[in-house]
Amino acid sequence: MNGKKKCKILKEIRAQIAQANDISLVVNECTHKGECRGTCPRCEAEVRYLEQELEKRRQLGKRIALAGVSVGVTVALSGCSVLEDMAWSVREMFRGRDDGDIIDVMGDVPMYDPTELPEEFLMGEVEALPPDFEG
Amino acid sequence: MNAPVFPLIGFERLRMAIDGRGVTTLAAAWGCPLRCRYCLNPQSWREDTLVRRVTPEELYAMARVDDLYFRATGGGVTFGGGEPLLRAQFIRAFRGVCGRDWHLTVETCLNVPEENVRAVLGQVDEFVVDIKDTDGEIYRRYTGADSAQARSNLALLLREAGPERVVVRVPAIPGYNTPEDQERSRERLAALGARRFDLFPYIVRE
Repeated sequence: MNGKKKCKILKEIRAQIAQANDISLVVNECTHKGECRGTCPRCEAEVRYLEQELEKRRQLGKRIALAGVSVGVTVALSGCSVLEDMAWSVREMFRGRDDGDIIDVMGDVPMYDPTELPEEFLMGEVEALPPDFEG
Repeated sequence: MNAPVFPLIGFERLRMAIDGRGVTTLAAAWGCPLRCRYCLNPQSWREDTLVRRVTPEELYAMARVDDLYFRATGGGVTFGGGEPLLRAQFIRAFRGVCGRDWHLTVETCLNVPEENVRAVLGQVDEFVVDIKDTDGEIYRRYTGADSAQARSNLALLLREAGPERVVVRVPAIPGYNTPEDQERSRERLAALGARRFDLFPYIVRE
């Protein structure tokens, strides 16, 4: 599945969440040029906005409709091979290996809020792992 | 006792229609008991591979940015690899951190000690099992390992978790099995109680 298609589906999910909870969500047309990875800072900001609005509703004691409201959006999808996709994921993870770096699979799109993680994690505890299967 | 860690070699958000239902995040683990001839992720067992060692809390912090998508679509986190059931205690601990609302899936070969499978029976919602081939000799030639443990664990899983929670992958493996072997495997697995199958050809990159 290419990034544009993924982006479109995620946008639809956000719209359904907003509608189910009576949240006003204005979706601007995407002006991003170049490769789309399915999400971008603008899309992420919409997710954070929805989370904030849902939290406000929760604090006001209003009903929140979230569980399963978008199940139908992804049910009918048929993706590419699991194995191909897994290989892509690992390749992306290790694209920066030559100079000793491990990069985020989402490239320049942050995977998480950096302020929420301890510094030692952000620095990346990178090491060759001994085969200590611990079960 | 130290907190269990997960040797992360891959982390990919926002996957759809690949790892089961809904929007999922893949967390791939280093370490595998098999050495499959057509392994697509040899990083998952090479000892010079670089990993991120994450605790359950750290992985949760990484994955929860998609909590909204998970809940809205019935998705969650898929553990792959490598062999994620080598990290069964981590998966148990992760369920404790993420709660019951996320759908947890494990993609496994099941060639792990039985106690690892038992440890996650009540924590994992869905098991996707790559059983390779039910013929022991084909399995050994392709993976370099004995298949008895995997078959025994599959029987356990079907019995204890129930067939509705188990998808069994039966691949066509070029140069190792035939369409007849593949069908024979499917029949044997059906006799064992499997109901959900994924028959597909392996991708060979030489």
